[in-house]
Amino acid sequence: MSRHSLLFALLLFATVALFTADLAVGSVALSPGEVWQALTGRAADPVVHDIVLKIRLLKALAALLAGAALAASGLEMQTLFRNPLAGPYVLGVSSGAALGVALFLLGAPMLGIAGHSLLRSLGVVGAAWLGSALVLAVVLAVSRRIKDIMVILILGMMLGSGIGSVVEILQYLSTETALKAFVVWTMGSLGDITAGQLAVLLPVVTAGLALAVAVIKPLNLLLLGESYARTMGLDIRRTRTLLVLSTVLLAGTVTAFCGPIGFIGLAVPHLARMLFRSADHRVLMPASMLTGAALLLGCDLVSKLLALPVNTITALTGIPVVVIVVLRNRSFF
Amino acid sequence: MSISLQNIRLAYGSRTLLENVSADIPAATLTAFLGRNGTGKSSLLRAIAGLNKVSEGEIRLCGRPLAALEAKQLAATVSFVATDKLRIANLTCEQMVALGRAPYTDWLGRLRETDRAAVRRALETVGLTDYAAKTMDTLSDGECQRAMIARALAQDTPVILLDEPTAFLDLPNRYAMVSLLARLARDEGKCVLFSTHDLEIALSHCDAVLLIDTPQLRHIPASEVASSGAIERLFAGSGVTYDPAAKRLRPAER
Repeated sequence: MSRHSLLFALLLFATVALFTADLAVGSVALSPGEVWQALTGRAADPVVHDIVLKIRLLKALAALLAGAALAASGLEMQTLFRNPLAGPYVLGVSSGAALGVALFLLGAPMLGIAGHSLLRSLGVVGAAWLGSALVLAVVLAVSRRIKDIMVILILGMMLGSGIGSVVEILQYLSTETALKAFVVWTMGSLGDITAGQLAVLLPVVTAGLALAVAVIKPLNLLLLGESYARTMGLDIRRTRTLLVLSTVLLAGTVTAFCGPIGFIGLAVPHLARMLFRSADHRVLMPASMLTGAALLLGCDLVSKLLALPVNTITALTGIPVVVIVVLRNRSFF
Repeated sequence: MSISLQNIRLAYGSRTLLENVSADIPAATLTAFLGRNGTGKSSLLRAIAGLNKVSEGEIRLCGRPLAALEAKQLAATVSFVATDKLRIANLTCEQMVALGRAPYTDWLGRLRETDRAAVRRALETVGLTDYAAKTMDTLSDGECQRAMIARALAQDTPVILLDEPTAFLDLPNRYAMVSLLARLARDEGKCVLFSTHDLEIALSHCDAVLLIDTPQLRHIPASEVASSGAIERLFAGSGVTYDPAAKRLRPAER
């Protein structure tokens, strides 16, 4: 078996194992037997049935999807911007989504639609898409004119901070109930996902991942930069549109439902590069998706065991990876 | 004609670089593109590669207007080697060359046997067969440049454009580079056009020079360069002068 197939098999095994462990662990102690009975629909206790199927399974599925989605969008952005430090969080795409959500959650009571749960979750997603698409469009437009990657990064951060301030002003002006809804959202939780939200998350993220797979060859050409890619027959405008669409569907949707989860998008593509020692997106894309899913499941597990927000765990896991990347200073593009 | 420039006007901002210029470059020739810095060499090369637009006039490649070619057709007609150094970690020399097959591969970029054969042949032509498995960040400047040329060869185009391929190279590597380009033109029948400041090396190997004498463009066969006085004009008032007898530059006499 080649090194790559072996690594893929190991990653797949790790993902399945972490998914199973994520189902078994929670605030209520359940034996593996009880979890299995609930999964197969033979639970004796209806409470156990609900805990496993309505809470833990949804949460584990959300972690799986969100991890894969954030990692894929991070890889797309790093190659598009030819910048190893790009990611949905760093470039302000998550902040854009947050602004959209803030405007919606803090403004929804004024529109009188706060009570409808379906309208609310559709509104949150739509607002997050609009917000992230807007930020990405601004960053892309600027990067067309300014080639310096540091400038783009600083700009993304400033955009993110600026948006953060606007969100704070909105919070300051909003009502107590709306504020609470928003603050809970910003905690970045996988736990509050409902079956209705998962029904939106699953198809949208699947579409985003399919788009990410469809741009594998363009991403490989973009490794050499736009000029080379164009002389090798790449339709750059179409590629950029597909990449932005995919990122908005992936990072925007995940941010809408799970709140801002940092460092998965930034660190996971680097983990995949380190593990597989490849620059080929035919390897890196599936590797990032699997690593992202496994890592977020792992972070979720740890966050449940320590009773901490998942956000803090992803940051603590991701930061060392980014530090290593910066210190090694190799060129990936 | 492999490259045909017809009544081209090229401008950079409000500055006119070339005004109503025409030139025809046939297949199987090595043409050196000369001109002082900032006179529009890179802009014209990029325009022929389809990356820039010219203000007026028409560029024709292998008999067809460039503007009418679709992205894939263009990629099968002209390949381009730029000046940027691509020292990508984890990307092997062979993978880099294989990217040149992009116009011919499927949506995922999978290589068929014909593609693999083209990659092997390209690596062999530039003498990098033994470097196939090395990653790009471990190659020297000269090897890196040859890998980029192999990528252009794998792209299998009748026209190859190179922007200053001899920059960053030491003297032996410059000679090796230009004689490699000459081989591509003569043995493989390619129309090779490369911009350079290495006048002497270029003149010793090429079939013709394309020379920017702002706002004119002159296309001179190598045998007539010495007698044309064009090189002297290029360096007039610059502190160096061209010695046609010795085919070399020397400091101007005061």
